[in-house]
Amino acid sequence: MKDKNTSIRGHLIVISLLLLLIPSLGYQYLVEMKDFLLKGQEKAQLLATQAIATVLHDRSDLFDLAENIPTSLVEQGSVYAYPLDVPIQIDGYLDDWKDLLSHANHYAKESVISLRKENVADLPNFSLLLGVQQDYLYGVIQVSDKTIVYRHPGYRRLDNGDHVRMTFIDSNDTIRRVVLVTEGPGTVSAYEVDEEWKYPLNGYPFDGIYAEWYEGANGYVVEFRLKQGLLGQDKRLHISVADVDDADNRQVDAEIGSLPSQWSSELNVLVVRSPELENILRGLARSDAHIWIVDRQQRVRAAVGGESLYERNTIERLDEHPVQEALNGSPVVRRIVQDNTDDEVIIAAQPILGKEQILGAVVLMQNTTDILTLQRKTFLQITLTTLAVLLVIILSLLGFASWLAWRIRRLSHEADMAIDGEGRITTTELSAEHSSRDELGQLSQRMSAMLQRLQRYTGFLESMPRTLRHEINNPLNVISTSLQNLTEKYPDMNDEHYLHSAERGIQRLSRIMDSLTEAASLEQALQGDEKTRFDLALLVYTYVESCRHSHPRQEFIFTGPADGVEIIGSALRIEQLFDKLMDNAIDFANDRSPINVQLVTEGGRIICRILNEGPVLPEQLRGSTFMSMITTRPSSDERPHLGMGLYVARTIAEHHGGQLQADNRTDITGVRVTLVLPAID
Amino acid sequence: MERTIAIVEDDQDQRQNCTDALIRRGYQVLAYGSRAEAQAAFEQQLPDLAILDIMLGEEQDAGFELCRYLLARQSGLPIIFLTSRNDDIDRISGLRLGAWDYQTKPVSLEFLAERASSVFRILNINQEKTPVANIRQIGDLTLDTERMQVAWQGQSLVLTFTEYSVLQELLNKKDARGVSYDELADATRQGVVQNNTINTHILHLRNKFRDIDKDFDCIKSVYGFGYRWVCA
Repeated sequence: MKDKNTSIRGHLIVISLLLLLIPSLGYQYLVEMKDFLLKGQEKAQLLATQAIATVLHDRSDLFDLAENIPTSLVEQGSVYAYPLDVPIQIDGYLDDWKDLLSHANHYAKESVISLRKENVADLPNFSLLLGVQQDYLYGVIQVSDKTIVYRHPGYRRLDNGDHVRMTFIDSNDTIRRVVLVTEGPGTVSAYEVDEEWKYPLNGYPFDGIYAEWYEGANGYVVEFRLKQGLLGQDKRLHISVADVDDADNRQVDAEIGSLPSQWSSELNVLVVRSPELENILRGLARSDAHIWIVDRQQRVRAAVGGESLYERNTIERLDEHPVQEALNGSPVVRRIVQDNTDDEVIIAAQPILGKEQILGAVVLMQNTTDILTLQRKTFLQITLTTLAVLLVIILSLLGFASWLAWRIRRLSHEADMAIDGEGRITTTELSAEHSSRDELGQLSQRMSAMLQRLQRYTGFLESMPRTLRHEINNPLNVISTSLQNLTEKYPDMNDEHYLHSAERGIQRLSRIMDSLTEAASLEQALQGDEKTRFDLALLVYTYVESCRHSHPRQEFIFTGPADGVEIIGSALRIEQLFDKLMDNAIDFANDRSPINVQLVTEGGRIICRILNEGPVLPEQLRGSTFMSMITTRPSSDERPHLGMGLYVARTIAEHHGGQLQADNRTDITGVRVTLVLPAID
Repeated sequence: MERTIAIVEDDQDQRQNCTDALIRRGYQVLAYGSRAEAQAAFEQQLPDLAILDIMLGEEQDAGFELCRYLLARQSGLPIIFLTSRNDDIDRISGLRLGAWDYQTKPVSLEFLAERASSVFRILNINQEKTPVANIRQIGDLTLDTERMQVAWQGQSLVLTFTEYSVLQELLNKKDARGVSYDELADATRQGVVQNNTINTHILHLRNKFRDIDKDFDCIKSVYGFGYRWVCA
């Protein structure tokens, strides 16, 4: 009855799978929300950069651009001084510069200023790293030199050993020259010297520079500190290393500077972060964003804010593409995915306009972690909520479907029961779903109404034989009485042949009507019968005895007790039942063959079998032998056969709580009819 | 003295046939086609015998109503029912209307006439009040064959003609096996009789005896054959 594939529940489950679209919609929504938020952030960042750029508009003073310096020199000869966030010990050891060492500028033979003779065997080279902390400029000069020659105190000239030359322009636009020289590792003496770099201008060491000399494996390191106030506004500074290799002649063999050879007479431009700029920006600093100000060379002139894409203090230039674009004049906003963390960073860059040229750019970098975190959190929340809701919905649907299916099954079961195996209506009022107000209730009521209509029709059909009998008996009576009158009126009719056949016809018709009505009114009649306790064995025994007398051509064999098997019921009906069964057995029995009647009591049941030899039951009648109007008898018989006999028998058997069945004998050809009746407890 | 028989039958042909047959036998016959017509006539004059069809036109129980009406007018008025339905027998018995007999259609006119003459004979005997000689006593049973009256243990039973005939057949048969269904069917003087109809008559008979004597058990069933009177 219940097919898994087509059950309502199955359908509903399949349909409810469509609900899974909801989370996918939610996900779509989340993605779009993230995009929206990111766009919002982009806009906000761009606005912020615009605001900053507007503040810095025309403030070329903050970028301290030297107007008389060739641009190419600025571009190639600038030295960047990194902001230092740890205190630097001037001791020649480089531990405190660790993070920055890789940013040191390297100078070798392309920066040669002078050579004493061609083809110097061991041309020294050096790297320079500058930093700024508060009022001081710090520096590390790492020199590779195989032969270190220290200053000999016996000479007045200062250039009789390896030394460092420092040139700068002070706030009075005067060029100052300072030599850092030492007689051995340790604190270095600084002397301001003449243009020839030979003699000190006065006998005192130069105040404002402090340096230490430390001898390393490949040469030496000079770590120094310089008061920023010594430098002029343009912050021009040049450092060169003079190498003395021969301790005997003590001549400077080579000098290598911090600018390419063609600018050997020029000074570097020192680029430092602008405290003024940083002060302006500080108010805008946010922990989750980082603001950079770069100059036209993309060098960082100010940086504030929290965690950044870069170690902000060790960076000199921002080479990001958007920065370049902004310096070209157009505001830019980009999303960049970091290689190492997969975090997305939004970079907004805005040009800072000066009167004639673009001064620099404001760059605002912000991590999208917040948005992503929010997205993840929302996603989790939505997922959990959706899952819970879906679970509830699916469970409810399942429950609803089960409930519906159960109701339908109950209704279907009752509808099934409303008409029994023989097509009789057992009830006209379905109780299942009767008071439901939904479609099932309507269905139930409709079915009840249908059953009632069917009942009326069945009632009409059932009353048909009786009505028919009434309707036929009256004309029959007309014919019959007319014939009788005819005979009486013309007593001298010499040929009575036709009269007799007419009478026989009438009799036959009467019998037909009788057997029809017998079956039709039987059930009603059975209800009115009085049930008494009687001896079934005696009945059967007597019945078989009677049969022996009335059917001498047949042999009857009875096996079973002659009395003492009592049942409760109507003896007359049981007799009527036997009338039908024995009639049947005798009619189908072979001539002079025995008819066996057996009666046994078996576990609360009384079983009576009637066996005859003769034709077997036709295959097509299996199971329907006891239905009304079913017969296999030839109808040429004297008595009419309407197939009512066995139907009557079965109705009586069932009325007594018993069963009747017919099957073919297995021992010989013939039929066995079995009647099972309940015994008295 | 000419006896008047009223026939109430809605079917024109049957009515005519019955009328003809009874007139031929010298009775005065009044025939009516509906209950209203008959009742109107009975208001004027009561017949000596009424033969009533139960169903008249659309009225299912018109015959019964007429019967009640007639018996109310004159108790003891002989009434014979004609029925076309077997189950009417149960209804007549159940109603205990006081009908003398009932015949099922198709009816034998000869038997009907015979019944009529029996009725009048009994009426005559009762009217003349002549002492009755023909009385049989079988055990507790007293049988007045002239008046067709029966008494059990001195109490009289009201039996219909058919029941009387069945009882008489049972008593007459001295055979050890009893009376077969066929013989009983003949005794009811009705055309085609099913065993079941006999059973019904026997049932009614037994019940009437048991109304007087609840231990009455003289009519035994001989299953598959018929019945037997077992008392001496």
